[in-house]
Amino acid sequence: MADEITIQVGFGDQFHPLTVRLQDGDIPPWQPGQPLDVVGQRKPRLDAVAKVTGTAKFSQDQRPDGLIHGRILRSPHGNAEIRSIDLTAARAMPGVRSALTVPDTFEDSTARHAGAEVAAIAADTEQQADAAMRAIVVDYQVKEHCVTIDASMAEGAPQVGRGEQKNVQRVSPRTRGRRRGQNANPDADRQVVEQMARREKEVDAILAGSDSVVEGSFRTQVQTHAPLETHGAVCSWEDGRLVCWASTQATFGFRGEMTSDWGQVKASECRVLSEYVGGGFGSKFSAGREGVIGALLAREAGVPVKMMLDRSGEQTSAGNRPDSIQKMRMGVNKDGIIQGLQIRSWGTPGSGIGGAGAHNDGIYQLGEIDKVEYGVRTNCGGAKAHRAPGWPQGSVALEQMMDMAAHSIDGIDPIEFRKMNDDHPIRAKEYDIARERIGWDRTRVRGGSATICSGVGIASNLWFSAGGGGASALVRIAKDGAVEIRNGAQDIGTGTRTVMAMVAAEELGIPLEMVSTRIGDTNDPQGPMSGGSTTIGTLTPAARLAAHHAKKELLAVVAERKGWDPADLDLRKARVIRNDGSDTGLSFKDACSLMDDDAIEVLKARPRRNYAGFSDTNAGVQAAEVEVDMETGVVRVKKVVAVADAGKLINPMTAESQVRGGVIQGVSFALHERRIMDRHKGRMLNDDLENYKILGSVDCPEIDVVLVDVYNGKSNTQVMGLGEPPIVATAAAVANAVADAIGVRVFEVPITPRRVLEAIASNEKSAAQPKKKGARL
Amino acid sequence: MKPFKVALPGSIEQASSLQQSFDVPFIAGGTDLLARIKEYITTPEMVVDLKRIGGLGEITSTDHGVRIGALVTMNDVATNLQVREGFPALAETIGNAATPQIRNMATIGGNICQKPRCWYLRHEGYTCAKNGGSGCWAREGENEFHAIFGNQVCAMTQPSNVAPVLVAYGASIEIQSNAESLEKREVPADQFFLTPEQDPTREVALKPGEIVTAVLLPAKNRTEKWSYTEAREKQSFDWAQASVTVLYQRGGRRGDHRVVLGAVSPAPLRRADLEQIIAAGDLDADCIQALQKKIGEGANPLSQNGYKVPMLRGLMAKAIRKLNGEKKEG
Ligand SMILES: Cc1cc2nc3c(=O)[nH]c(=O)nc-3n(C[C@H](O)[C@H](O)[C@H](O)COP(=O)(O)OP(=O)(O)OC[C@H]3O[C@@H](n4cnc5c(N)ncnc54)[C@H](O)[C@@H]3O)c2cc1C
Ligand code: SF4
Repeated sequence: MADEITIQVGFGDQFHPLTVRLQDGDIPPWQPGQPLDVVGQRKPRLDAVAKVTGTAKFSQDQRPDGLIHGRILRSPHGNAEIRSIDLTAARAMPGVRSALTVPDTFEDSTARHAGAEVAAIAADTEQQADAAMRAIVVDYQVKEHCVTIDASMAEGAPQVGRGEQKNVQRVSPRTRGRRRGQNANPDADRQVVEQMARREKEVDAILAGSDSVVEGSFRTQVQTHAPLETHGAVCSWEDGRLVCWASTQATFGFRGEMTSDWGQVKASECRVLSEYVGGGFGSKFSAGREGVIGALLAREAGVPVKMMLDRSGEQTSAGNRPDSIQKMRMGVNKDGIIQGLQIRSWGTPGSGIGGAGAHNDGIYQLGEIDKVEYGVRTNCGGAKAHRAPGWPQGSVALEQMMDMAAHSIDGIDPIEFRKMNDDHPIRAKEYDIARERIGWDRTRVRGGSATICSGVGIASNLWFSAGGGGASALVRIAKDGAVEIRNGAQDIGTGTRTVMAMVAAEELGIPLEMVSTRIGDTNDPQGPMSGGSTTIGTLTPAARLAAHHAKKELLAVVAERKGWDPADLDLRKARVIRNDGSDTGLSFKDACSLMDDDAIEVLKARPRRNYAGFSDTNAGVQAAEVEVDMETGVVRVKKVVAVADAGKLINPMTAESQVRGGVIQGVSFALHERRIMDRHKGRMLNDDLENYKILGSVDCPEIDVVLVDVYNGKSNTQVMGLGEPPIVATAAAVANAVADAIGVRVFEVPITPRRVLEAIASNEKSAAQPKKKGARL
Repeated sequence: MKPFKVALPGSIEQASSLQQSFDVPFIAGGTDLLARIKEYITTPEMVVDLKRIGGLGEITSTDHGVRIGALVTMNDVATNLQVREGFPALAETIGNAATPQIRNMATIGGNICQKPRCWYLRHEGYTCAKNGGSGCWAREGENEFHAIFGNQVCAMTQPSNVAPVLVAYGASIEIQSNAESLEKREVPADQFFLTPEQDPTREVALKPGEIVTAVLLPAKNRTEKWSYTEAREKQSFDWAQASVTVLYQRGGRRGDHRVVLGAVSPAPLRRADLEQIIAAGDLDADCIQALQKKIGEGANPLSQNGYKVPMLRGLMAKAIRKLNGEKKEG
C-alpha cells in the first residue's frame, strides 16, 4: 500500500507542502489546524499521584516472598590485579545463601579502579550480607594508578591499560583496521597522521587569513549520573525462568543480555519488569554486572535476591560523563562569518577510551574544521552515556568561543553573531524569544567595584531524534468499553506512559481517562530502549497506528450491525459520529457493546523509516541570567529561559518537565558537580550525595520554558524527543553569563567559588600588568 | 551497617557510667553518628541514647543567662524568642545550617560534638593523626574544603558553624559525668573546641563518660550590633567554606569586640588582631581595608584551598557593611 499524500510541514507562520509516500499501512500525520481533543493538551502525568504518594513500586520496593539481600564487594585500590579470593569464611557466616567471585564469573581478574566489582554475596538480612561481605578474603596485587586526566597524561605516568595500550590514544580521526586492545596497523596509521598534518596546515592558513583569531582552553569535570534509584534488580527464578524487577531504561535489552551467554546467566527465558524507574540518564541500558550477579546469586540461593547498588557503588562504578580538556582556535572575519576552527580535545572515560569525545563542532556553520580527539585512560569508573553524551561539555567550550569571537570583532552582539553563523530555521526564531524573555538588553551591574554583578549568556542546542522502527503497540477495546494500550518498554520518568495513552485516546476519540496503559513488561509488545531521546518518536506512531486500526475494526462492527457505511463513521468525544459531524446516537460504550467477541485486539508495528519531514533536527536556545558575588565567588543562577522544540507537542506539560529537568541538571553541571579522586589511594572521595554536590531545590533558578510546536512530518505523530537536548546548552549559557557578569572568563566548569575567585584574582593581576598586544579574554 | 545495642539510661549518672571509653558513643539526634556507623567509620557494639534523660530538652532563662539543654533541636534553638532577641547571631546561624529535616532531628549538643567532615576521615581505610595513626592525607591530597589556618597536624575544619558564634558570645559548655573529680563543670566555648596541637584525636574537651548537658549563654551581653556571614556553594544541604562572626559592643572604641572565623581552621579562630582594628577606628572603608589586609595573616593554604583567603576578605567586608546596617545581600 503506497499512498502518496501531500502534507503541510513547518511551524509558526512558516509552512510548506511536502509529498510523502505512506509506508507499511501508515496513516497521515495530524495537520495544522486540525482540531485535536487530547493531543496538545496539558495533562498531568498518569502516574503523578502514585509517585508523590509513594504507592508507585520501584525495583527498590519489590519484596517477593523469601527475598534475601545481595552485596557486592568492591576493590579499595586505585589499580589492582586480583590474585585470589577466598569465600570460605564468608560462606560460613550466618544467613549466607550464595556467593560468587568476579574472576570466576566474568573471567576478569583486573580491578582497574577503586570500586571495581570483586565478589558478591547474598544473605538473609542486609546486616548479615554486610558482615559476610567483609569476611571475604582477597589477595590483591596493588599497582600504581592514575586517577586524573593530568596524572594520566603526565610524562612517565604508569600505564593504565593492558598490553600495548597507551594512556593517551587518538579516537578521531580514526585509523581503520584497529582491533580491540591492539594498536593500529602502522601503515594505515601513518596515512591518517599525514592527513591530519595536512588538515592542520590548511586550517592554520585559514586562521592566519582571518581578521581575528581567538583561543581558549576549556575544562569540564566528570559528572556522575547519580540517579535517586541506584542500579540493580530484584531477581527471582521460577521453574527455570528468570524474573527481574529491574531499574532499567531498556527492558528488552536487559532481557536480551540475560538470555544470551553474556555473564553466564543463560536464562532460557527471562521476564523483565520495570513499572517505575528512579532515573537513569543514560546509565541504565545494560543489565550490568550487578544484574548478572543478582541473577546468579538468586539461582544459587533458590530464593529471590535484591541486588541494588549502594550509593558508593553507584557513584564510583555505575557510569559517568567523562571530563574534558578542549583547546580551540577560531578564526572569524570582520563581517562576523566564522572561517575555521581548530580543536584538540581529551576526555577520560575510565580505563577504556570509548565515549571520550566532546561534541564541540556540531551546531553552527564553523567553516573549515581541523579536529583531533584523544581518549585518556584513567583508573576510574567507566563512562556511560550521560544525557546528551558529549554535548554539554562540547557546548561549554564552543559557546564560550562563540562569545569570545563575537567580542573580538567590535560591536557584534553574541546573539547576532550566532544568527550570522546558524542556518537552522527554527532556531532563528528561538533566538529572538530568548533575547526578549531574559531581558538581554537590560542595563546591568557588571564587573568593576560592585559586590554583586549580574550577567546574561546564551547558547544553543541541537538534537536528532524522530525515532525509528522497533516498537509495536497492542490496543485492546473490551466489550464493556474498557480500553487498554500495552507496550513492554519502560518509562524512565519522561512521561512515556502518559503520551502513549494520549495518542491512543486522540485516535479513538475518547478522553484520556478512559485509556489505561501497561508498560515496563517484556511479556508485552516490543519497545525501544530509552536512549537518544527516541522513545516517544518510536513508540507513539505505533500506538497511534494500533489505535487507528482498532477503531476501524470497532466501526466495522457498528456498520455491520446497523447497516451503515463504515467509511462514513468516526469516533469523537466518546461518540460515534458521521463524517459530516452529526451524531449517530451511539456512544463509544454503545458501540463496544455491539461486539460479538470479548474484545478487539490490534497489534501494530511502527513503520521502520521516517519521512523526509521539515527538519531532521530539533533546535533550541537557552539564555541564562546569573548573579555573582564578587567577594565570595558564589554564583547564583537567577533565571534560565529555555526555548525548545520537539516536533509536534503531544503533552506540553510533560514536555516542559523534560526541559526543566535538563536545565536543572545543566545548572548543576555548571556550578557544582564534580568527581573528586584521591591521588593517594585512587579512590573517589565524594562517592556520596553530600560532597558530590547536586543543585538543590532552593538553588534552582526560575525556569521559563517556551515550547515551539513544529509540524515536523517525520512520522504519523511527528514527535521529536526532548529528554536530552535541554541539557546541551545550559552550562554553556551559564558560563557565558558569568563571564558577562564578572568581566573575566572562567575556563572550567563547574564554576565554583574557588574558580571564580581565582579568575578574578588573575584578572586583577593581569590588569596591573601591561596587556600583551592582541591578547584577549 | 553493623548491628549494635542501644542503651537507654534514665539519668546522667547511668549514661555516664555506660561510657567507659569513646568506643561506646552517646547518641542524640543521630544525624552524624548514624551516618558514620552506616559507613563503618565507627563500629560500636553499643550506643548510649541520651533522649530518656530528663532536663536536657529545655531552654530556660536564669540570672546567669540563657541555658539551652543539650537535647534541644537546632530548629527549636533557632526559633526560641530568648535566643532570637538576646543572641541573634546564634539564631541566624543555627537556623540556616544543614537542612530543615536535619535541623528537626539534630540537637545543639550533637552539633558541637559532631565529628569532622574530612573526606579522608569519613572513608574506611585512611588512618591519620585524627583516628589514631599519624600524618594527614589532606595536606598533600585533596583539600579544597580543608583548613588554611592551624593545619599542620590535621587540616580538618570544625564542622559546626554554630561553634564560632558560641565562642564569640562567650558561651560556656556545661558538662557532667559521674566521676567524682569531674562532677559538673563549665568550660568556656573557646576552651571547649580543641586544636589538633592540643589533641589530634579529639575536637572537643570531653573525656570518656562526660556528657554535654547544656550550652550556657551569658547574661552579660553587651552586643550592640552583630553580623554572621558565610559562603557556601549551595544554599541548602551544604557546608560553609568560610564564615566570619563579628559582635560589636556598646562602648565603641573601648568595646570588647569579637571577631571569630569559622570553617577555615580546626577550631573556631578568634582573631584579637582584627578585634583591635575594629576598636581602633570607625566602621568605614579604611577599617574594611585594614581588616582585609590583616585577615589572611598566618594562613598557610594548601594546594587547593588558597581561595579561602580572598573569600575571608570578602566576608569580612560584608560583615562590616552589615554592622553598618546595609541590608542583606544576595
Ligand atoms: C548534609 C548535611 C549538612 C550539614 N550542614 C551543616 C551546617 O551547615 N552546619 C552545621 O553546623 N552542621 C551541619 N550538619 C551537621 C549537623 O548539624 C549535625 O549532624 C548535627 O548537629 C548533629 O547533631 P545530632 O544531635 O544529630 O548528633 P548525633 O549524631 O547524635 O551525635 C553527634 C556526635 O556528638 C556526640 N554527642 C551528641 N550529643 C552529645 C552530648 N550531649 N554529650 C556528649 N556527646 C554528644 C555523639 O556521641 C556523636 O559523636 C550537616 C549535616 C548534614 C548531613
Ligand atoms: S585533615 Fe585531619 S582528619 Fe583529615 S586526613 Fe588530615 S589528619 Fe586526617
